[in-house]
Amino acid sequence: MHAAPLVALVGNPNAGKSALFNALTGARQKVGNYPGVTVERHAGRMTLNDGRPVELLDLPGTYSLDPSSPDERVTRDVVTGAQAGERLPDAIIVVVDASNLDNHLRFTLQLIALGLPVVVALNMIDMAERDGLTLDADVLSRELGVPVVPTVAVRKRGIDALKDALDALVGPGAVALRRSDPALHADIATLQRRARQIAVAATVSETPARRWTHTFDAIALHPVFGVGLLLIILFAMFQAVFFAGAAPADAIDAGFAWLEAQVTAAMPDGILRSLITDGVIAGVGAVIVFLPQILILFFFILILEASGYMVRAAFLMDRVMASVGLSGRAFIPLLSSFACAVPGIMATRTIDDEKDRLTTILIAPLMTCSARLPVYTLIIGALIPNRLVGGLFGLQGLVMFGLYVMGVVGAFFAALVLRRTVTRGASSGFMMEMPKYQMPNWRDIAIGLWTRVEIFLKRAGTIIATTTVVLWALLAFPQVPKDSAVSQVNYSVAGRIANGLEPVFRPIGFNRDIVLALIPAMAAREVAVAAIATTYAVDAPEGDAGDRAMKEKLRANWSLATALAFLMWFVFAPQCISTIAVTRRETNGWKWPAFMVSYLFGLAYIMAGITYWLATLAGL
Amino acid sequence: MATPHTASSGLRGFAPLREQMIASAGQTPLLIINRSCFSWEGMATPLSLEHLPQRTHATVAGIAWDQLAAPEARRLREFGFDEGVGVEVLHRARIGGGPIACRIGRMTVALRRRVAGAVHVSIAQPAE
Repeated sequence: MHAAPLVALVGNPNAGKSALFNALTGARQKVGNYPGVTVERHAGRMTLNDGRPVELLDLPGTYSLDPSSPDERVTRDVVTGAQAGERLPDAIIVVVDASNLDNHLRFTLQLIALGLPVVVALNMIDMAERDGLTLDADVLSRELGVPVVPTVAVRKRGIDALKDALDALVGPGAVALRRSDPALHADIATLQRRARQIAVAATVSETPARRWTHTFDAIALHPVFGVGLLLIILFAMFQAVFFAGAAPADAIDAGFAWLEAQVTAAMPDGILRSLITDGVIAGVGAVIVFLPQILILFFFILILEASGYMVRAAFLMDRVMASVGLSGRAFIPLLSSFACAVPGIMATRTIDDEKDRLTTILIAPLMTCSARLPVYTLIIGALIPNRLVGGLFGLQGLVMFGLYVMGVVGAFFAALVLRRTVTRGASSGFMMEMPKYQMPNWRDIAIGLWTRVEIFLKRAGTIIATTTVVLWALLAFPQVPKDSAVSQVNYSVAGRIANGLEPVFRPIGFNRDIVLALIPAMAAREVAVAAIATTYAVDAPEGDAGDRAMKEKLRANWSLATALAFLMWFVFAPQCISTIAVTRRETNGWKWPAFMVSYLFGLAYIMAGITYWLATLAGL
Repeated sequence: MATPHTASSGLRGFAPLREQMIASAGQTPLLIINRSCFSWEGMATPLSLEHLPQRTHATVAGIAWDQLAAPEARRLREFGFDEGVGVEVLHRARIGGGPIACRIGRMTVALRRRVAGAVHVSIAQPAE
């Protein structure tokens, strides 16, 4: 005996299902995961007009009960009672787009045939009217044999009527599936024809109205203006993530530094203080510092999705992405990864095809993220001569640009190879519905943002914080004896690991100091700068004097060949536990992050080696 | 990945039709003869959605399901592609043979050219 009846929201993609879910449940929703698949389970509580509580389930949008992706399989399995860990719903709300009846009714017919109590939400009825379409809900109800309620989910219209209809459906009495219904097994074309007949019957009048979606598409999909518009939008987005995200991130950094200082002042020196400041506070800080970027990026992505523009961007970029075996949908996540791979990988959820999505996740860390910049700046500033090439370009800037290009070329090459090996499979290609443009609903955007943040903090955050503490332990133990001349770093487990790894890295031109710096830099790439400073005993590398001292030490200890190899290493190496943690979260297991780490370290080693030996041969 | 049609994406008329006839292997010779009669009976012009001129009302004449992978064929059916349904090309991403956007029923969908090439259409006088 369950406390509350379970009602599932089902419908085609772009029917406005999530908006209806938000309108029915408000903020009372919980996002989880279905076991074994990366499909989110959105559930929420709603109250019927007579006060009875109902558990509402928002199922992934799908076109039929014949699934072509894990999301669509979940939808089918839930409504047929085959989904592990989910009970058979007591009723279904089928959400249909009023201006696209002939297509959406086909799936509705399939769902009605299941035998569960059904109410149809004739959604976005206002948009249909704007399109010059007048519909008769009563005729539709009679033809389908189930109640039909006109709704406008984003304006919260028709919600009470929908609840009334639901009231009558979720009474006592068990429901049973009609597995034998002929419509369940009917050929899709037959159902489609029947759907078209019903749509025609329910349409009172249809006057051709000027569709401004098509007018706007003439610009948005234009080979020249459309690409221009896309570039403007991307530029604004990139600027916002990169620069607007930087100030709050710095503030968070400063806040945690202040907290560390307070604890340092209040506690006696010792292992406990070190654990709290360098372990726990640094670990939690490493998680929180991502929030501004994640919030800003997802704010843009959710608006682009909700407005209908995202599919247009994918349309424009599809040809380019197709050349390496990806689809246009991979473009935005990859671009976001230039700021940071963590929100970039989270953004791959917009890619429907599993193989496409996996490939995109695997190459996302190759996009030059902002954490590489401090490392590049330091090494280039110290060891690349500041002179002009061809009297026009600075050599330093050219090297920096080369590193960005190297990342992109590496990513495309990796995608080509991956798509033919580990993520091989029939490409689902690029077949997408292009929804009508509409004004995003701010409440839906806010709920979407909160959902992302919650997922990041809960799932990735815990791994990031834990690993930071583990890294701290590697550097803090065993403790150096009081009178020893050896530094703590060298004496620690990390120092000993570096000793062991040094022979492995010698062939690619890395000395022990570099290997030692790479270990704490696993936490985040920019930590390499501080780590190098520690090994060369430079205090406060952030200051001007410290910066100069660092560069002198580097010039004294590194050859140009080593420096170039080190830069090349950072183009490829997955030196970022946050990325690894997010990959684990998004692929639901350790298999793919393990693969990602191995192939990227392998590439980094080979590319750094090639660079080192070419540079050495060139006499650098 | 170059398709035989890439060079002709901007052209309309005979040339792409000829290429298409040659490209659509697996069709019976009889059909090819039919298609070479450009204005067959003056009623309908058979050609593929890939080459349908923009903003021209047409109806789906047939779909070469055997040219499509199973998921592609399923999605195409789910979008409502079926004989006799009205279809219209709205936009083409011209650069290097990108996808096309077309109206099918009351929906707008994006398809890659290869998939659109499997959809045969006829430019008929609107029956509506």
